[in-house]
Amino acid sequence: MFSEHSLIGYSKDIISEKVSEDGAFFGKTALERTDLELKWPVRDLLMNDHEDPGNLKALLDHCIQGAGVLAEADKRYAVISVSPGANTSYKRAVLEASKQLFRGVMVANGLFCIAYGGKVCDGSVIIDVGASKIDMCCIEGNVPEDEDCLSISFAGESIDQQLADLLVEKYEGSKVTTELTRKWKEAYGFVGDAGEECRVELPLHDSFKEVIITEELRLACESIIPDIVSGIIRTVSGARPQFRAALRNNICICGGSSRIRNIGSFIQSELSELGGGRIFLMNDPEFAGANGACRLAERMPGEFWEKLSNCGNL
Amino acid sequence: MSSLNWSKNSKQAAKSRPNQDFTPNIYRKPVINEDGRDKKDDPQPPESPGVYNQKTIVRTLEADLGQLQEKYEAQIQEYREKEAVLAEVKARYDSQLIEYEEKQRQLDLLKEDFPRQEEMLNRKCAILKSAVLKAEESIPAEQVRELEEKRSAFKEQKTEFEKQVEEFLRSQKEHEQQFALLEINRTELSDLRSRYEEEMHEYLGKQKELEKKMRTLEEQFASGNDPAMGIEGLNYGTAIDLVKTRYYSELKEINRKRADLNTLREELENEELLLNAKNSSIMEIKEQIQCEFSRLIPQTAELEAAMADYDNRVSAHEENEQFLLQLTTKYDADIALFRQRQDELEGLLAQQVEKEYALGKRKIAAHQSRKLVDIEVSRINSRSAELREEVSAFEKDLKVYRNDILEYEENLQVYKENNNKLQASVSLYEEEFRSFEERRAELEEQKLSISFEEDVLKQKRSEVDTNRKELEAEEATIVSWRSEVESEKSEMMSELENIRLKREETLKQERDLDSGFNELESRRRELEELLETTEKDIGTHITLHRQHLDLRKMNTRFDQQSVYIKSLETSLNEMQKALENATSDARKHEMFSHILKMNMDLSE
Repeated sequence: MFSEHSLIGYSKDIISEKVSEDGAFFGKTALERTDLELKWPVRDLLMNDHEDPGNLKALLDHCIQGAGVLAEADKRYAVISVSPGANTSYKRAVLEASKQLFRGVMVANGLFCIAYGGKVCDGSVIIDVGASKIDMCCIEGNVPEDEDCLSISFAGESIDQQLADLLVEKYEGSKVTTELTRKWKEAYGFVGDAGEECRVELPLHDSFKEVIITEELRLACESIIPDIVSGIIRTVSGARPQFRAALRNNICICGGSSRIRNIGSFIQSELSELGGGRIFLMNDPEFAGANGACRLAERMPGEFWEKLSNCGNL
Repeated sequence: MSSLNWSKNSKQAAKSRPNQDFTPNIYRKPVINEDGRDKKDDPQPPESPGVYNQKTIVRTLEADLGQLQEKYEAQIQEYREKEAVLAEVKARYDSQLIEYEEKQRQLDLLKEDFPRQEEMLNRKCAILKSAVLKAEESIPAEQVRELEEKRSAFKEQKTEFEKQVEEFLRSQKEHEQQFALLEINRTELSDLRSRYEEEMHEYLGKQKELEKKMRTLEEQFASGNDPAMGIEGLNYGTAIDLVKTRYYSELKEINRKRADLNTLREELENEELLLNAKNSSIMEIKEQIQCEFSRLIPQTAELEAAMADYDNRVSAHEENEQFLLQLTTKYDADIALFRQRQDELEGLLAQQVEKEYALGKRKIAAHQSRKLVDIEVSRINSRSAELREEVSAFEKDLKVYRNDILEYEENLQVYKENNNKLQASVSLYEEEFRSFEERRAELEEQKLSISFEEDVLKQKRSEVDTNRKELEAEEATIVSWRSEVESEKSEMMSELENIRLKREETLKQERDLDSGFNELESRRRELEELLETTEKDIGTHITLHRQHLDLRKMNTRFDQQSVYIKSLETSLNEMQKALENATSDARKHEMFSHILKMNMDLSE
C-alpha cells in the first residue's frame, strides 16, 4: 500500500551530484538515513501536474515486491484506490506509472473501495480519516462521483500539529516535532475518557523531560470530531429522505486516525444529540481501501479488462 | 578310218545331222554352205588336202560358233521372257503383298479396336453384375428376416390380443348378465322401498292417529273413566292391549322388513361394490386394450411404412430389372455386333489364308520355274563344260596338227598363212568365247539376283509365316475370349434366372403380406367395433359412478390446484430470489462498468 506519506530516498553521488537509481530506499529506511534525497511521489503528483511518474512507478514496484507477488507482469491485474479529491492528471499518472507493472490496471474511488471491501455498498456513510484530510461520502449501491464526496482538510496531520502547538505552548523551550507528536498520537491517541495517563519524554533544548500529555492529546484528537460530525450531518442530509435513517445507522470509519481510541463511541454520542446514528469501526482501517480495491480487482469481469486493454491499445 | 580319208558316206552322214552337237574334229568335212561360201570366202583354190581341211575346219568352227551364238541368243531370249514372267510374278507378289499389308493394317486396326470392345464388354458385364448385386441387395436377407420376425411377433401379439378380446367378451357377457340381475334386484328393491315407504307413511299416519287416541284415552284413564268403545265386551283397556299386540306384531314385521331391506341394501351395496370392481376391471381391460391399440397402431404404422418401403424397393427393383433388361438387350446387340465383326474377321482371315495359299502356290510355281532356270543353267554349264572339253580336244588336235605341220614342212608357208587365218579365227573365237564368258557372268549375276530375290521371297515368306502365326495366336485368344464371353453370358443367364426366382419369391411374400395385412385390417375393424360396443356398454356403467368420481375429481383437482398454487408460490419465491440476485449482479456490474467507464475515459 502507498499513500501521500510514502517516500523514496535516492542516494546522491557526491562527486557527480547525480541521483543514483540503484540506490533507492523506501519509507522508514529512507528516513533513517541523512544522505538521501527524499521524494514523496504521491504528494508530488497531487501537488504538481507535471511531475515525473517514474518515482511512483518505483514505489509501486517496491510495493509489489514487498507484497510478495510472484506473478509475472503480464499476469497481474490491479485496481488502485485513489483519493476522491485527486484530479485527472494524478489518476492518469498513476495509470501511466503502473502500465508496465500490470497487464490491466484501473483506478477507483477510494471511499467506494472501502465500502466494497467492507461489503457495505448498500446504504452507508464511509468516512476515511486520513493524514492530510478526511473524506466522506454516502454509498447507495453505486460508485459515487468525486463531486458527491465531502473532503475536510483537517485530519491526522492537523492533530499532530495541534498537539505540537499545545505542547510548545505549555512547555516553553520544548523541541516537539510533528513526527514525534504523530508517534505519540499513534501510541496514545484518544477522545472522551482517557483510560490511562499519557506519559511521554518531551525533548527540550538539551535534555528530555517526562511529562503527561493526556489533556493536550485529548484536545488535539477531539479537534477533528466537530468537523466529522458536521460532515456526517451534511452528507446524510444530502441523501434521499427515505434512506437517511439507514445511512445514519450505518456509518463506517476507517483510515489511520480512526485508530484513535473511543472515536466511534464519541462520534455516536455526539450524533445522538443531533438525531442519532450508529458508528462502525472497520477492521484493518489503514488497509481498508487497499483490501476493497483488491476485492474489486478479483471480482472485476474478465471482459472488462479486455475492453480496457483494447481501449488502451487504440 | 584315217583322218585324211574322206568318203561320201561320211559326208552324207555329216549332212544328215546338221543340227547335231558340235564336235570340233578338224578332220571332219565342213557341212554348212559347202559350195557357195567356200567359193566366196576362200579365193584360193584348194591346192592341198591339208589346206582344204583347215579351211573346212574353220568353216565348221565358224558355223558352230554361229549356231552357238544363235543358241545363246535364243537362251538369252528365253531367259528374258522368264525374267519378264518373273517380273510379272514379282509385280503380282508386290501387289498381293500391298493388299496383304492393307489387310494386315485392317487386322491391326481391328486388333487395336478389340481391347476397346473387350473393355466395353467388360464394363457392360461389370454394370450388369453391379445391377444384379444391387437387385440382390435391394431386398437384403436381413430385412426379409426382420420383416418375418416382425410378422411372427405381430401374429403372436394378435393371438394374445384375440385371447384378451375373447376374455373381455366373456367377462362382458358375465358382467351384462350380472348387471341384468342387478337391475332386476334394483327394480325389486325400489318397488320394495316404495312399498315400504308407502306402508311407512300409512304406519306413521296410523301411529299418529293411535297416539292421538292414546292421548285421549290416557286423558280419559287419568280422569278415571274406562270408556267403552261401542263394541260389546270390548273396552279400551283390552282394545289397547289388542292394539299394542297388533302394534308390536306390526312393529316386529316392520323391523323384519327393515332388516330384510338392510340385508338387501347390504347385498345391493356388495353387488354395487362388485360392480365397481368389475367396472374397474373393465376399465383396466379397456386401458389394456387401448394400450394394445396404442402399441399396435405404431406397429401397423411401422408395418405400413415397411410395406411402403417394400413397395418402393419393389418398384426400384423393377426399375433395376428394366434397366437390366435394357442392358441385356444392349449386351445382346453388342454381342451380335461383336460376333458379326468376329465373322467378318474370320472371313478376312479365311480370305487371307486363301490368298496366302495362292501366294504359296505362286511361290511354288516360282520355285519350280527357278528350278527350271537352274536346270537350264546347269545345262548351259554342262554345255560350256562340253565346249571346254571340245576346246581342249581341239587344242589337242591343234597340237597334233602342229605335229602334222612339222611333218608337212613343205606346206608350212601355206599352212602358216592358214594358221594365221586360223589364229585370227581362234582369236575371233576367243573373243566370242570371252563374250560368251561375259554372258555367262551376266547370267551368273542374274542367277545371283534371282537367288537374292529368292532370299527376299523366303524372308517375306517367313514374315508371312510369323504374321500367320500371330494371327493364329490372335484367333486363339479371340476364341478364348469368345468362350469367356460365352461363360459370362451363361453366368449372367443363371444370375438372371436367380433374380427371376427371387422376384417370384418376393411377389409371393408380397401377396402373403397383403393377405396378412388385409386380415389384420379386418381384425382391427372388428376390434374397433368391439371397442365401440364395449365403450357404449361401459358408458352406461360409468354414468352410475360419475357423480362420485366427479366429487373425487373435484377433490383431487382441489388438491392439485393447492399443490400447484404452492408450487407456483415456491417458484415465485425462487424467481424473486433470482431476480434479487440478478439485480444485485446488475448493480455490481453497474459498479464495475462505472469504474471501467471512468478508466476508459482516463486512458483516452
